[in-house]
Amino acid sequence: MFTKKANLYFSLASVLLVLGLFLQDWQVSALVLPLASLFFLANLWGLPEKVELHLDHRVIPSNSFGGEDISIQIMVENRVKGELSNVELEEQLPDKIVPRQGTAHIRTRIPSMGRVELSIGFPDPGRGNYTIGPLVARVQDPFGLYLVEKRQEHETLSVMPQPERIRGPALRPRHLGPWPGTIPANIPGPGSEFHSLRSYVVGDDLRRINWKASARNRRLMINETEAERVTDVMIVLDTDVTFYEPSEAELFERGVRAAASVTSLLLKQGNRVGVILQGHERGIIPPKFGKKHERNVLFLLAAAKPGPAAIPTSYVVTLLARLMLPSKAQVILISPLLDPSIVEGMRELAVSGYSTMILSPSPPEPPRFESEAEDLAYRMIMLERSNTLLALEKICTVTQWPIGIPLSTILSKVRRTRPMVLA
Amino acid sequence: MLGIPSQAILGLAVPAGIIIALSGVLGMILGLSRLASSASLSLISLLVWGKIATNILKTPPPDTALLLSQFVATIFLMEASRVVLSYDEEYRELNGRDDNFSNIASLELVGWLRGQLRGQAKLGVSTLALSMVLLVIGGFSGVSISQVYFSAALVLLFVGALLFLLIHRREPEG
Repeated sequence: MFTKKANLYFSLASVLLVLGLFLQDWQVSALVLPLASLFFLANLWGLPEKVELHLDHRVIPSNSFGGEDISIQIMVENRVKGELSNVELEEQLPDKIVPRQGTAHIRTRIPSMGRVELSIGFPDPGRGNYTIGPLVARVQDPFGLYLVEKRQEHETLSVMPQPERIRGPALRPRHLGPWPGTIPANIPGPGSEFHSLRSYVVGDDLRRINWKASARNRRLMINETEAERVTDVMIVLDTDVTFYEPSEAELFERGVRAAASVTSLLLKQGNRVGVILQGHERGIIPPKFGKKHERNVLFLLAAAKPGPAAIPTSYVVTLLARLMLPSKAQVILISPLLDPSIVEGMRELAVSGYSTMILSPSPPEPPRFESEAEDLAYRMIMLERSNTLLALEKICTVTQWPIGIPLSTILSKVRRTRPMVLA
Repeated sequence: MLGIPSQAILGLAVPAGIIIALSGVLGMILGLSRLASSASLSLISLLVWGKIATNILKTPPPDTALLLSQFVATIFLMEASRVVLSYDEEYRELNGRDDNFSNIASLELVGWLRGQLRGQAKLGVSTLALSMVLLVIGGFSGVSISQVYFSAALVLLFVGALLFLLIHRREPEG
């Protein structure tokens, strides 16, 4: 296609022709000759008759847990005979990605049937899903009169939250799946913890005979272990951290990290895990098993952004848990508990028989306040949060996670699992 | 200056020349492509205006070959300056980086600059040569410009030929 410049030259030629005719001055008209010759020669020599480019760009690695440099490898291949002397390559990058090595916009030339390979390097841009591209190649003649443009569709770079190695909380939901796992099922079966005694029957493993109990009962007794099974878990991440601007980001990132770590651990233990993002941006992944599912969850968490929720968290939790989880399964809510209406939602879930647990990243106290009013506002929010915590502790297991303490330490102390008051 | 009658620019040929030259040089030094392009466009405008002025003021017309050479040279300089400014802008982004990716990009950029200037020079010279040949052929034909209808038909024919040349080999792509 013609460039804007070609149109301008063409307009100039037309103006010169009209002027020459109007003034009856053939010298003015003769000025069209160089322009016409330029168009003709640029068409003839400037570009091969057909431009065939093959474009490729790859993000390495395309999935990252952060903390490493990322590169984009660009390859452009000229598949026709004839040099392309004026090729402009542009990799469109999000604002957060600033190349530290190489450049996203480069001009080059590609020899006949040859190729050009370029790379761009940049540091980890932080958690998020980034659109890399599209890669655009603009091929022009030396005077830039003709343009052939080729595009390669965008790639996605996902910088996911790194799941921490943690010790899991002792979950005790009433709903258990048929497959072996780590959650005590309160029925005899394969497991590691003692459950009960029963009489020996032919075929039982002799190593399981309890000799002391056998002596007391004057017949052979067998140790039964408690079966350990898997369950269905829904993790709800409350991304509404609207609280105190300097602390918001930290509070939010702690929540995302916790969601990633707990998901990863529960999936490794064989449970079906689903995730709900509740906040300004919403996202739902239904409960599933496996490594691929873990990637999907981490991909969703990579895109999480803080912001106030349009729909109340309590409504979302109760509605979606009932839609997506079997009755009496486990719900884990990760929330800073700055919205008191959560209490009602959790109460409804508990009444419906769901096992509920709340992990609450505690908002850190700001080092200083700008004004007395700000100080007062902070104390009021904290007081309200304390009331919410008090109400929730009567319904479900609530664990506060202060800043600076490892998540593993906090979760390993979670023991109480049955609600004391339901209504 | 450029064969332009002094009266055509109110006797300010020297100051106008200095201003255009300064704008061009400043544009190149400061990397202001708009300033440099404006200087080139002013030069083209002056050239055309000068020619028109000779017609209006009834002064002796300049040599046609010289006029064409000046016109082609101005276009070439304008385009070459744009190439150099583009190079300068992109090289500045890579300057100071000593990593492998940036070095490869710099080499590609230098190769592009050389290729571009060579290509433009080749096209510029060829354009001038072809224009001269066409001019000579046009001289042989000896059509009087005062025959308005005939000239208009010729112009239309020329525009048609030009359009054909434009789209013959390079069909617009989406």
